[in-house]
Amino acid sequence: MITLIVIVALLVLVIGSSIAIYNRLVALRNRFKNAFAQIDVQLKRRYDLIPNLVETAKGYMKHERQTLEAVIQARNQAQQVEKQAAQGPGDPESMKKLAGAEQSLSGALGRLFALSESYPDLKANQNMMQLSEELSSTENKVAYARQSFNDAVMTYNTAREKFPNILFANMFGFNPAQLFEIETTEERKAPDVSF
Amino acid sequence: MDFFEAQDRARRITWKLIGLYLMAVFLIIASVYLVALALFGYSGQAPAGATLTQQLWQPELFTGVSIILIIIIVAGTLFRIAQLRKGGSAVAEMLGGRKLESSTRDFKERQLVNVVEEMSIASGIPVPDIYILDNEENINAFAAGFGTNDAAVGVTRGTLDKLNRDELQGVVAHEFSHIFNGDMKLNIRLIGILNGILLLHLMGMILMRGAAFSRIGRSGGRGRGGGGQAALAMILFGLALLIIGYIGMLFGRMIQAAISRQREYLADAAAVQYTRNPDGIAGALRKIGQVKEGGKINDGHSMEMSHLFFASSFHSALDRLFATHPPLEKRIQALDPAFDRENEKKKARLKKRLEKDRIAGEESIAGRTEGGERSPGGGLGQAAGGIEAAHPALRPEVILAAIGTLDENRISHAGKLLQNIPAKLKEAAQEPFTAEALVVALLLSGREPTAVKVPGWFRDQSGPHIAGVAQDLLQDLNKGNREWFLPLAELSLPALRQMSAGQYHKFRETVEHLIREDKNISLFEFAMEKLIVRHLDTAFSDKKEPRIRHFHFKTLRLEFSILLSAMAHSSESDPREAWQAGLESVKNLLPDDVALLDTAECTPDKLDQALQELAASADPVKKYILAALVHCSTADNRISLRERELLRAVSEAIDCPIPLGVL
Repeated sequence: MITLIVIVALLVLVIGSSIAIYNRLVALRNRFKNAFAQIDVQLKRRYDLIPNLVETAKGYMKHERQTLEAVIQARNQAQQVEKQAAQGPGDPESMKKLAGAEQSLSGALGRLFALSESYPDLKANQNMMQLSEELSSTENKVAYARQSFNDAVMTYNTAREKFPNILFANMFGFNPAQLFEIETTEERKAPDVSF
Repeated sequence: MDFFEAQDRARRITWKLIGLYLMAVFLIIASVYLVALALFGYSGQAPAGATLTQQLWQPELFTGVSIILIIIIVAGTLFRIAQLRKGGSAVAEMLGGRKLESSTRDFKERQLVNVVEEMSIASGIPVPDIYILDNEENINAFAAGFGTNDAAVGVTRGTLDKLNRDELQGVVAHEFSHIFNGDMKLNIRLIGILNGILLLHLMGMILMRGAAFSRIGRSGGRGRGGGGQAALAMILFGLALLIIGYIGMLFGRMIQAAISRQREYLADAAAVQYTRNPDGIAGALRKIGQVKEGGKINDGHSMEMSHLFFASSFHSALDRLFATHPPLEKRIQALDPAFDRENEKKKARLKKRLEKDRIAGEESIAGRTEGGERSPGGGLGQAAGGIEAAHPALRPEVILAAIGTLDENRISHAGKLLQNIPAKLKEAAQEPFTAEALVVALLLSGREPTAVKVPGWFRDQSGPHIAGVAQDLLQDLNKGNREWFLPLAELSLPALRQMSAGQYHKFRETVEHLIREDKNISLFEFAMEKLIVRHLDTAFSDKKEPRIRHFHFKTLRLEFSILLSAMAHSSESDPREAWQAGLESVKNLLPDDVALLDTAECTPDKLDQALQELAASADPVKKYILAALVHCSTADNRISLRERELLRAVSEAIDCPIPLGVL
């Protein structure tokens, strides 16, 4: 009888703790997915702002069609990639793609703002001022939300790699999640304006 | 029934729950024992020629069976409860909920956020996390969590799509009443208990499969009779466990149903009381009734959590026994007598009752304005900026009775208050980045004298972006109304809960530093600290609620005198009179040797400590101390700003929501 009790106690422990591990991993995965929703909201807002910005700039920058088109193209590209990434946040491939698309969008926008330096009328335009203000504020929010997301991903990855969690993680398909990293140095650098 | 009584009642039901649980466990042990006896018992252990009793009663076997089963059931229960300790959001996420951004632009989602925010501001609880079950098309909703601190409210997609604002408000009010009545804690324990019994079922299944597997393995190898027989017995035993686990589940479901049904009626009634609009919730119930599936939830977890929901999330053949919710018709009838045309008598009776309610309601409103007149220029009136509707009566009984309840006036008052707050400030509360800046600005603007610039160290520490936003908001707040401050802090909590642990850690340091920096901790700062740090600490750590240490006043004498003295000194009139008024209200319960302390002895640190002790005391003790504080604050027929802020800090510390309009 005692052996049976010991066996049952062990069995309960194993089953119970595996359920606990499973649930913890689910909870952590949900947490970083929810954290991505934050980024999602801000990025979408940014994509909505950009066409207005380009529309406003068009009136002044008639000779910069190429730059403007590049911005719109980068925006459309990023929007599409973002839609995919939102389906499965943390998925390595789509996160990397998103980071790349975001980076090229930031680059295109940076060039647009650099060019706008040489159009004083445009810079003084009320609409333009408001839009660029709003854009930079969303960018700050994205950065903040990104940090939160990356922290959550890190917590999940750490919990996932611990022993014995790693055994269950592989069994139940808890894949490692990818951080959302954008090289900030370039983004933060003030655009070089040379004439 | 006041807030504390409701909590107490919920606690008593918990005892009932434990009783039923023990009974179920015993019945399960007894049935497993009988099965074990039938399978293993006659294998010669009982001496030959034993009486029937001796054959039926084998203590060794019984002990063994009991220990095994208790291990399984208790472990299953504890595992589950430990998981759900994380609070309402854990439950919501388990059900597949998506956390709603408070900055959402979707019209229907926005409406839900507004309804929930209004109700939380009106009742004085922090805005709960809101979840949407996107994949559920039927109308249903739930509230989960351990207390007001970690509550989450969730609704299905169908609820958003099919209900109008009034009906949605009715449903949300129903859920809020679960929060106030202490039902959520009960519900979580219930889930734990069900899980313990479910684990038994699971073990049976595993045992059966394992034994079957080993038998096949063995018979394939040597095919010896003895081992095969033992394995067969194991299979049968596993099968029995499986069946008994199932029977246990039935017990569990009956327990669930027995406790849940009453609470639903109560919550419906409360929802009507809060909104003064029986059509809202009745309309929602009717719409659920129109769909054949009712409020069915498809998620796999919905069965064990069915008692959490607004309407039945599943149906069984034996609805009478297992239904976690009263039949829809009955619930509608209770709300809307016209629904049942046959039963004229009942209708008349209800009509009479409603009429009585109406008169009583009018009287209480009359009483309220009378109370308001007694205090010309009393605290709130001037600060409210023309919102007269929810003038509080300054009678302590009225204030105490209002705790943990809501009414239409307060909800509409909260709605108006929220409308008056500039959109820019409200929007800042909706996103983590700006919410952090908003809290910083609130703390700076709440200083005496008001700060006009964000300090340099904050700019260095948190970066120029967030400091810029804070500076901007600070200017707006300095021009704004002080009455917005605490509601804004409450509004920002859901966004702040979305920070990562690392971000929160930094933010918390900033808040502490801001509060202590100017050496002079005002009551506003004190209340803010309690509101923000306490609520977020529960969200970011696994800290459990304090265990109850004080069952009687006697052990809280010092704390009581510190709190009451601080309150008395906050009065704008004679502190001794205020002190006396507070003491008077609890004089039967208190030894005589408490004395009014000096202002110097009521430092924020001491207050803080006193509040921590108070938080760890039993509900009746909390109730009387709060009563004394309220009596003290209203002694001169007005509540000063300081008094209001101290009351707010107290109510935050002990998790008892004092509604807006009172504070």
